[in-house]
Amino acid sequence: MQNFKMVLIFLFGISIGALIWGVSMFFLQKTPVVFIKTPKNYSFYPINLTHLFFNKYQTKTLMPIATLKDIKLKGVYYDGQKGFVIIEDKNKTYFIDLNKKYKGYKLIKIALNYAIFEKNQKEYKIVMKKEKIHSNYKIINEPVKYVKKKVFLEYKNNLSKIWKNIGIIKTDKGYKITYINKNSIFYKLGLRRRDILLEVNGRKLKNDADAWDLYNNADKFNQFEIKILRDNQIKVLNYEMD
Amino acid sequence: MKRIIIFVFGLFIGVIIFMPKDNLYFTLQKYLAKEKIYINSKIKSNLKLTLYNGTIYQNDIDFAYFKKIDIMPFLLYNNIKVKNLKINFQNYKIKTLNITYSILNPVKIYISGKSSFGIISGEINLLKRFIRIYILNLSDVNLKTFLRKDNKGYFYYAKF
Repeated sequence: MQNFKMVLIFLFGISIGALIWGVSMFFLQKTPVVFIKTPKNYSFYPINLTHLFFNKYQTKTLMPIATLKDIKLKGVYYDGQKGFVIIEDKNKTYFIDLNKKYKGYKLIKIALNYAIFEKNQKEYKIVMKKEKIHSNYKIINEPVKYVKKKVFLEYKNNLSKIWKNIGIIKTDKGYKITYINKNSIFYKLGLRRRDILLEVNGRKLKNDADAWDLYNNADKFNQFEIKILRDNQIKVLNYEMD
Repeated sequence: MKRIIIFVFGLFIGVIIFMPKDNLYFTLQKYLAKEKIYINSKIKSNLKLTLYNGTIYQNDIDFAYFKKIDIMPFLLYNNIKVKNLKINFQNYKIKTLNITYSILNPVKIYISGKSSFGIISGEINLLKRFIRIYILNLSDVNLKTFLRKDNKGYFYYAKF
């Protein structure tokens, strides 16, 4: 009789265990999460759409221009069609491309020393302080250099060859070059030690996943625009595949 | 007292047997998906959960492939065994990887394994919140950039 009671207590314990999980089932996911990979196609077509924007701004009635006090303009780049600005917000630096939004403010215009953002039909102007125009990031757009696709693929398919010639570490701003072989293709293409890689083809290198994705898809690009930070200057290195 | 011990023992057995391992795994997948990490694999569960022929994606990139992962959640002793993990980066391969958490040392998770770049041995300290994984007999010089070195050899260190 005593043993039977013990068995019953044991079975009761088991059934309580089952009950706990039974209740918890209401809060658990019932179906698997499956990731479906969609192939990415990178294509660039030089289409001039400035006339569309021109007409748009002609007919638009905007409210008076206000200022954004908390955001500082640190640098600008604009080549007539595309551009970006560098802003500082709460001691952090951000790169904003033309027609992209930052905290709901859309960058609509870039001038030599100011940028105009738009939010809720209202324009906001950020002016670069005079003393900062030359002291902070100055943007230099380098002429296009041509790279043999064969040489590029040789490096792309042999990662150890890359690491033998260049060393990079992740920093807060981007990926810093710690070592570069002077006889390597990287040096010939204009990269130098202590350069910080900020963006490649408009994509910010914020983490290893970004860098990795770029590496995996690098052979799909026919041109590269590499934005680097060197001696407090932003340089845009342009390459095209031969 | 004897009755309480038998009840707790029964409860423990019940919790392990009836643990909905599939659903717990799906819930884990759901949280990982928020971090843009996905695991696509076939699964099989009995007392342990087994994932077969899987791919791990991070930010839309197929980060790693594995042949088999055994997850044994026995509460007092938990173990994850990974077999043939191939990282999509310089063809790094991890032949075996054991991650063990035991109630005997509740502040540490032990990691050990064999890989194409060396022997893996390390720990995750939950109390001091750091990860230290030694790569003994390191065969790949490229990895040195990401590792630190002490008397024992090269190791990966991170705080969390």
